[in-house]
Amino acid sequence: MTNVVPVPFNEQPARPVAPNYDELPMKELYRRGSAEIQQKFAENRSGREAIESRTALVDEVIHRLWNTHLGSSFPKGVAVVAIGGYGRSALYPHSDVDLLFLCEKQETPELKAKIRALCQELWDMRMRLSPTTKTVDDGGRFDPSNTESTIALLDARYVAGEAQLADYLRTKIIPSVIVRESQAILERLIEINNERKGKYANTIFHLEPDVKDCVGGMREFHLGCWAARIHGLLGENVWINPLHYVRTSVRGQTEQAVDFLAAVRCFLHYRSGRDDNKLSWDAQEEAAKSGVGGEVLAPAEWMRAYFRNARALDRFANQMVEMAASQRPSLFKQIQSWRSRASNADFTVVNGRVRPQQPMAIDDPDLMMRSFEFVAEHGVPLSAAVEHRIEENVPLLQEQKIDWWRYLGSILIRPFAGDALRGMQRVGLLTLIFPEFANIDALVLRDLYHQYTVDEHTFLAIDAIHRLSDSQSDWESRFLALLDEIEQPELLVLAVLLHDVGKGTESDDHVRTGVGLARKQLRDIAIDQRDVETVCFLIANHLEASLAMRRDIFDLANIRDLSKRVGTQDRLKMLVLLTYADIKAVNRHALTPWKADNLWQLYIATANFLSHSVDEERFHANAESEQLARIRLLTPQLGKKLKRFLEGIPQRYMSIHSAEEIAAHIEMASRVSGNGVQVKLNRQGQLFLLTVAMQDRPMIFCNIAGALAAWGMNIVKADAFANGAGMVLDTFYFADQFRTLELNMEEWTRFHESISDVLSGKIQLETLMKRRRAEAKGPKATIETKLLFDDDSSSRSTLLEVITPDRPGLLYEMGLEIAKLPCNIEAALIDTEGRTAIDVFYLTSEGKKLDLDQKKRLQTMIATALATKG
Amino acid sequence: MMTKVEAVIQPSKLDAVKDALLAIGIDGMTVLEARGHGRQKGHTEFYRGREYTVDLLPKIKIELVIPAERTDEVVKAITEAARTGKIGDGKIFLSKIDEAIRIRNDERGPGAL
Repeated sequence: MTNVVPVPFNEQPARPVAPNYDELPMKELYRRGSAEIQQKFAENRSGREAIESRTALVDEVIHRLWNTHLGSSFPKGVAVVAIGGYGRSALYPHSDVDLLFLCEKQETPELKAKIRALCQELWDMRMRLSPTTKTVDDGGRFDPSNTESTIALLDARYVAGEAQLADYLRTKIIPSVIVRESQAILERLIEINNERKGKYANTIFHLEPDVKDCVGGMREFHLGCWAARIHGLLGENVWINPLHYVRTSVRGQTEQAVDFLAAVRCFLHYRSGRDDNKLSWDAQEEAAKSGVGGEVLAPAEWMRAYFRNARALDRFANQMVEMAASQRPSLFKQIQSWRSRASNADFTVVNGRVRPQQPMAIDDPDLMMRSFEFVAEHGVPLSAAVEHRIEENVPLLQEQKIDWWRYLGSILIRPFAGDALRGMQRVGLLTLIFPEFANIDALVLRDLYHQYTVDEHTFLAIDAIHRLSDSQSDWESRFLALLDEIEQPELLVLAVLLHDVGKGTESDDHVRTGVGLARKQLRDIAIDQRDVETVCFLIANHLEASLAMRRDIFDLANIRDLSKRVGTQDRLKMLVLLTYADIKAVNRHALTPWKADNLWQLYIATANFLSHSVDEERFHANAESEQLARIRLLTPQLGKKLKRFLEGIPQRYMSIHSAEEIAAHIEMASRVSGNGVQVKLNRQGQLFLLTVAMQDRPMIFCNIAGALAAWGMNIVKADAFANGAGMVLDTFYFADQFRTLELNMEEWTRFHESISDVLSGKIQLETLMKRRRAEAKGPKATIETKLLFDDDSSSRSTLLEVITPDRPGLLYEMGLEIAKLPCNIEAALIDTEGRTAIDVFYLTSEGKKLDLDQKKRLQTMIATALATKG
Repeated sequence: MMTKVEAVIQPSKLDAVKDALLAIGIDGMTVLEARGHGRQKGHTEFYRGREYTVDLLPKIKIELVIPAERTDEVVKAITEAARTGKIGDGKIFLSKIDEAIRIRNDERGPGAL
């Protein structure tokens, strides 16, 4: 620790001298003195000067009263000691005056009467006096049921009477009781603090904060000072000026925050004429207009300054408590719940704080970022020393080329990502990665709806996503199920992080501006272009589901609009979760079960519309679109083939594939001649992607599914489409459960050939099926099979939705029964969630919907097949 | 005399109703999130094989107390703003109120509204 300079406790800051009104009666002296202080405050708005002046004024009054009532009778054996705010030389205009009459021995009736007379005069002046009489021995006695009285002594300051007696209290009695009872005192201090913070929901962000008791209020400064003094007495047996324990930058911020809040509190007291510390809506406007705490600002900007200062005091208090408690490790269980013995090769958790195993190694950007990854995983904060070290190093990283996304992507998906991001913001790392985030730092949206600043709202929205797994309510667990199904949750959380960055600009349209800023920032951290598009899509549409909820959520046109906008199930799920988190993080009551249920109904309706309207919404190549222009740009050589391929293809095909993928499909389709087949195999993360292009004919879908099953591949997702000219474009995502393709490169060619051969009829599927690998055994899922027919959603096809336990070969078995009926699969959407297969087939028979008899037969056939082989 | 107006409307019509009331100088009301149905029964959605019966539909209930002589114009403003012509537009209930008291200063009668 640097910059620690112990100073004697009695070295109080220089105070303004009280006005000299020798000739005035006491009451008038106090009245005039108070009026002058108020007048001075109105002129210079210095809260610090006002509270120190009032302290000096009250000191003067008490001196005189002492001389009048006690001085001659009790030259020794009694002292007047200021405690509480008065002891701290911080008497606010209408605060209580806490006085301790310290006696060497038990008070005599004469002493008692004189003390009462002195107090009576103070009361007559309308001073709110709280007197206590104690013997020196009482001061050294510790009462576990009244720890507060011992804590109050930490602010003790001599005012009048026998100075040696007060000095004895400070130099002997108080240090002795603090050292002896430090464990109990610190425990109680932390307990009181936790209770206070709990009362204010553990957040500094309130629409109308209490500037004294709220989290980040002046009480934080007192708490930090008490903790620092206990630490000083325990360690070096000296009274320490608490601000000497913190680094220069933090000290400056703390002092600035104390000055700001002191001015605000004085303003509030004078405004209401009483000890009123609530920064009400109207008071905010008045304070901003009259430049309390600094310059004249718009109310929102002024509140931004308030929250920044509150954050500084909160940080100071936390650091001081951490420092004091480090001498009593058992206290950490009270500061925060002990989450784990989470040490690893790089980090260790000591006293509930993360430290690197090699302290100096934290200068390395890799370890620095991994320290936040560790915080995101375990929810344990970094130690103050480590945070400071990182803070000092952040500016040095500006010139370095660092793959930020590699770390950030990993942080965002971890359960305490919000805590890690708050820490990164404190040390300046978040704004180093995303400079635009600085614009929303402590930014206030001044209305009666947004409780939190924009940055805190963002972190709370991320918390809302990750806390879904802790949810006890049914309606929240539905959203958790969606989160589990998202393919790249890190992109959702990244979109949450950046969804409101546009609010930090002058723009009227924060959504559009936000997309522009996000795109630039994402490019700077080198995220894959496709992922950039996903994140920008979410930011661009983050209000759309809320807007849809303000219309009739059961209206088909409303659902259709939202479906068109999202295009795919995965994007819909992400948008719904973003909406859920965005609403929940507005204020504590914003997401009512009523609203959450409406969001869920909107989701169901849109999800169903997406899977039930595939062959209704078809693409017409003549309708110009941005996507079409982009494909044309990518494939100028295709000319008319482009329009030929796209004409009549289901709109969903256009939604789920990027322009680059569509261009590649058109290339494949253009190489198809006659009965030929084009097959392409790619690896996509943990899965493989098989793409097939060929002219439509019976059993295509069934044959591909069968061929994949014969190779032991487990189909996870599939889409089958055909354009107006009968060109089929099917995509199958499958898991290579036996790692056949992964471990044997030569098998790729054989696999490729065998798919082509089955589809072109060179070999029979049955031949391939005989070589079918033994199926991998998985846990048996208890999922009830359901077959649902729907003739309403499509004007051309009958929809069959099958929900059944997944298993290898399932799709082939169902496809076979469908082909036997016979009927044609016009389109298919195959999905797997956990161990449940959710498949939707668009079926026709001789170009028409299925009749009742056909549906009954198909139901029986598929149900029998699934029951027999399942 | 005063009238209590309780209007159950479609959530999507809340902004329109608020604007319509504001336009005739009514700016105080209580808004409650509600569920219910009248003749417009709910419906059933299937999602992944699970049946979601939406038998209680989301509604908004607005409550306001007005001087009795303004009842007709308030009812007119609400019905015109909330009407789509479809089933499920909602209902308005009117009842007589004996007294209104402003807690802050004990003011009574229509002046307390």
